[in-house]
Amino acid sequence: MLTTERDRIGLEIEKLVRSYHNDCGALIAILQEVQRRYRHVSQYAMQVIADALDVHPAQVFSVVSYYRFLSTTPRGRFVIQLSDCIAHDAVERAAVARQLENDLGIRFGETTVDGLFSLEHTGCIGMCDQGPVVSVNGRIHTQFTADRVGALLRDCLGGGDMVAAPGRD
Amino acid sequence: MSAAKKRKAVSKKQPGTCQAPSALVRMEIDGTPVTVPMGTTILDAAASIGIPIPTLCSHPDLCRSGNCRICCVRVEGQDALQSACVYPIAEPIRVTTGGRDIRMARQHIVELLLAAHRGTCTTCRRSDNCELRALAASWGPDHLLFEKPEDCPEREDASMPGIVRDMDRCILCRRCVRTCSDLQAVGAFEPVGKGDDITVGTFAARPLKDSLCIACGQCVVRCPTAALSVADGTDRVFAALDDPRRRVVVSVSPFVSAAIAEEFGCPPGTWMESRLVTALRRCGFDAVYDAHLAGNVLTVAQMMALLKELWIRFNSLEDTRRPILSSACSAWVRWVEHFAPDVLDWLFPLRGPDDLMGALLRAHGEPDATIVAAVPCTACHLEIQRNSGTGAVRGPDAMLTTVELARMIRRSGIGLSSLLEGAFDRPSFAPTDVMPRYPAHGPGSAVASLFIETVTGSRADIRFEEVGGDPGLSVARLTVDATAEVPDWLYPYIPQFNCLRGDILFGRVSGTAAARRMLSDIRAGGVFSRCAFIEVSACPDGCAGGGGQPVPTSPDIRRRRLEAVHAAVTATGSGMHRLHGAALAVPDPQRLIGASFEARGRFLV
Amino acid sequence: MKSSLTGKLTFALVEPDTGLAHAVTMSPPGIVDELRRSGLRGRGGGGFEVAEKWRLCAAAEGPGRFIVCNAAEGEPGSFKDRAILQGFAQLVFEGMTIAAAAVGASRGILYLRREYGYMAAHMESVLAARRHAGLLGQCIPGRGDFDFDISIHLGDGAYVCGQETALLEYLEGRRGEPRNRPPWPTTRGLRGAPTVVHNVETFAWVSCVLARGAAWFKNLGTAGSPGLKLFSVSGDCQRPGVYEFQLGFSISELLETVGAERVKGVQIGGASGRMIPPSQFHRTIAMEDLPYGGAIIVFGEERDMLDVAGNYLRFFVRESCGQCVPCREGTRRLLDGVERLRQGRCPAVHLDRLCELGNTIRLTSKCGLGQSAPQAFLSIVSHYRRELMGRERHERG
Repeated sequence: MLTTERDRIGLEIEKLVRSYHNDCGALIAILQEVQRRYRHVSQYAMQVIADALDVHPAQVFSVVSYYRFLSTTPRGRFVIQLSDCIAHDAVERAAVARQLENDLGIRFGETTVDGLFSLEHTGCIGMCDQGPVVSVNGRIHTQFTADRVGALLRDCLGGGDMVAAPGRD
Repeated sequence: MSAAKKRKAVSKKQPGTCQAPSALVRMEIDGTPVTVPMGTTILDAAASIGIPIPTLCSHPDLCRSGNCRICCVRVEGQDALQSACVYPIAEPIRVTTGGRDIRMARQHIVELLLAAHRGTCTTCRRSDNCELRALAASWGPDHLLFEKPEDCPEREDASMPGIVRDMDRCILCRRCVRTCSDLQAVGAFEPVGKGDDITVGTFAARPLKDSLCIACGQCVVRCPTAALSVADGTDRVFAALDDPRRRVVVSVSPFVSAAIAEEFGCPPGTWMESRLVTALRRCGFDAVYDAHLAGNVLTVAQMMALLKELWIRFNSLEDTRRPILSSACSAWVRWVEHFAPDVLDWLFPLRGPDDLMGALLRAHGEPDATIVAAVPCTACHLEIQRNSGTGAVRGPDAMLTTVELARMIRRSGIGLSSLLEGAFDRPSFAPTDVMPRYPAHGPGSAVASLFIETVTGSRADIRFEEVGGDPGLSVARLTVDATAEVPDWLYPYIPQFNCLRGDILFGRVSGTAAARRMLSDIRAGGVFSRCAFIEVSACPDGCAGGGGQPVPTSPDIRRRRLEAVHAAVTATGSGMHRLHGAALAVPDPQRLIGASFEARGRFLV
Repeated sequence: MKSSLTGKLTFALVEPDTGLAHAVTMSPPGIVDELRRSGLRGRGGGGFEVAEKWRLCAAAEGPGRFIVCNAAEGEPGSFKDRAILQGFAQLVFEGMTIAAAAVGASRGILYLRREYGYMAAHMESVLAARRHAGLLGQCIPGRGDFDFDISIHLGDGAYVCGQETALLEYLEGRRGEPRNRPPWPTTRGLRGAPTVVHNVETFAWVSCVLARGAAWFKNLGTAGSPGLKLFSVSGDCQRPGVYEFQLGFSISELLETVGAERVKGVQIGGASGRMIPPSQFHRTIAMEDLPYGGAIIVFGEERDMLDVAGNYLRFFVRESCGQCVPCREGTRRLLDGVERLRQGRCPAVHLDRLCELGNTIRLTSKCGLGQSAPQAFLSIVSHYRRELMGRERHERG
């Protein structure tokens, strides 16, 4: 008999950990899956994972804090990342960054209050010859310009083909 | 395959690839040839021929990590300098430990650490035994070359009674991390974040009291700076002493007497008891008591409970083969509450000795006094918290660790060398002729000794032997061949001793990581599952290595402290039961000696 | 997105799996010997001899062995591994299979950085096709006792995981912090087992060497750096992209090929490499002269070298694992120094001190990331010192 949402998530995560044979070598794979499903790894989730793998909760927290793609607070459904690779044209990139902030009304490192969009900087993503580069949930947009920001965001909301499905990254 | 496998590989770039364990290798350090077993680190090889290499992140109790790089040396043929503490010698290398590059590197490393460390040395409690300060004196620059980070002190975390964390002083050596997970199996601290945002933190950056910390303080005695330190409780005690209307008494744990001399520059293992008594009277305490007495009361109580349990089992049809675990150590109790709540009922529900001493004094003759306990331990505070509100007689009003007590003596302007020797006051519950100094609690063998003396009528030399080369685990096998008459006072517990004939095992465990291995051993049906009684203390080497003891600590230092305690123990067990009887001669003795535990588990939501 | 590949690459000319077909007819030491004759060195930047790594791994004792392909490519300015995986994944997996045959490994892992996650589905389909064709999985043709399969592990966004021991830590489910070496992964790698770690390009060249023979490869390039290599070229040039060169080419040749004019400097080897000024454009890219990574960034005359140095240092400050003191604290101090230079508050003597500090970081850091972190800064200071100094003074805000 499930009583709360939290219990349900706890059971789901336990099941997930069991599917990896409770092997602590699979910790990151488990965290990736939790991040994908719930868009963050909550404190409760970390404790459930720690308990099931028989490791210390602080150890799980430590691993989560190390990797950029894992977060302890919910990220937006659409994670928009702008590459700050040095090979890109700095002027054009700055314009894209400002337009993203203007359109979404948040700064880099923040998530919109409706939980839809997160705006992040990322390091070089291997598109140095085709910058500026924006990635939305892992889908890459090369030679991106400020005037394409509006269309990109509309596509996110309208489920267009410029973006990958939410929850995928 | 076989040809490739047999060929000996010696490569310049990838040493350590042709290890044949236990073989010897001849190498050279600063021109001095030395032969060491394969796999010895450069640091250890250098030490063996008296070449000093500075270290910071390494500690004799912990695995090496190679993080601070202060021990860098040059291995001929390699471009980069190598960390001596983690470099295993696997081939005949040549090592240089000096020269401009190394000197500059060490100076830079010290400079970088100083720049990231809030070095208010003049007001720092660890100023005298700060390892960073010592390194800076030898290797550091004459003046700071890099700007300090802006002065925005992070808030201290003093949420856990007895322990203060100040991350501004942390130099990220990670000794606390290794201590907490490897020695103590607690894992309260882990590195958090990375790059320049890295810190050492608790789960979800919670205050220590909301983490799984058991307050053993082992991180405190291994911290090279004052990032982790003992909370200072001397002001409160001074305030009580300054109040002329109040009677203030103190009980002193023998493990304090075994270590406090180190705070005054004496070598480890210097026993300082009688002069300490005088010093405390001079500080203004109205009476000074020996907490050893409570330890003895506890020893008798544990033995009685053990005999009762063994008799029940003898008459039981079921095979209830599980050992009984001691509960005298409050950090250990907290560990069980968090990490093994399913075995809580294997513990005798008894108070720890220092807490019990406070309660005994309060019940007998000191009802209105402010009772202070001088303890080697940072976790005793947990025990006071645990007992408050349970109807138990209140224990001490304040706790002072060894280092706090030393601070108090210094602040009272007392020079120890000129003091006359003093003797403990006799508490009113102790019969005039009985002031036993029976083997103390901690990792000692008190219960086993008293058990064998009581059951066989004669004392025996009890030898604990390490189990599986694990210094935290040992077992003593005692043989009961002839049995004595059951004394009257034990008759209600066990009517005859004949049922105890044969071999009986006692276990001794120190360090909660070792305790975790002990519990696995029990579950796997190993030697510990056959023990009748296991004495567990949370700290490595028990109270001699408590979190409130002087810094530094090492296996050798703790061994000397233990030897000092054992040398002070002389008496036999005769009369112990009268002490026990007198101490507990109150209407509801359970309120004095009993304890209750709580299954906390690992979830902190 | 457009393809980054330029010109005719050898990878496009080699028929996939001819190398593997050749390898399965040889004895494991025979494969190692063939590679030794080719002189192939790791293409990730370390430049360690491939055959020697394999020999050490094969000779080490251990339960099982692993082949790990490092597709962590996080070096700013590097994208050749991405292009290779997109275009020639077959060759990469083939190379891993050959390595497995040579050292006796039964499991391979492709570590794919999260930023390349969009390629995962394609990679899986290539692997599935290879399994279907009997080139992976149980009993690979020609070698009855040879089982080998490859799985893909997606990274989580940490540049330092490109460092091989950090990568192993990651694969074991921990923080990707580099280990102390020795022991090296060839002796004690993934889960304690001997492990060969190469980057994507190295495995692809392994396939080519086995397909075309060691002599073909050895005769290309220079004596110390035989063979061909791919370079990602980006920055201020007309034709950025992935280029194949024979090692030993000069920087001026390169600049001509990619269409770069009015060049102030060329960064060879990505963030961990060094800046080469025009006066040294005659120098050649080979182990004997300028060691190579895979990334070449061209900086035009309008670039401010202080910005460039700052950008690289910020990268390392952020991407340092934070474990060892020189890298964690040292890179931060160098970046402070760049800020002070920018604000006109850095006396010359302090700049000299920073260079000394840079040298210490290079000498004492625990892993390759830390050891190479000050390189860009040091080379910029030594070649562009005049440009860095003499800035207008800003008061502290």
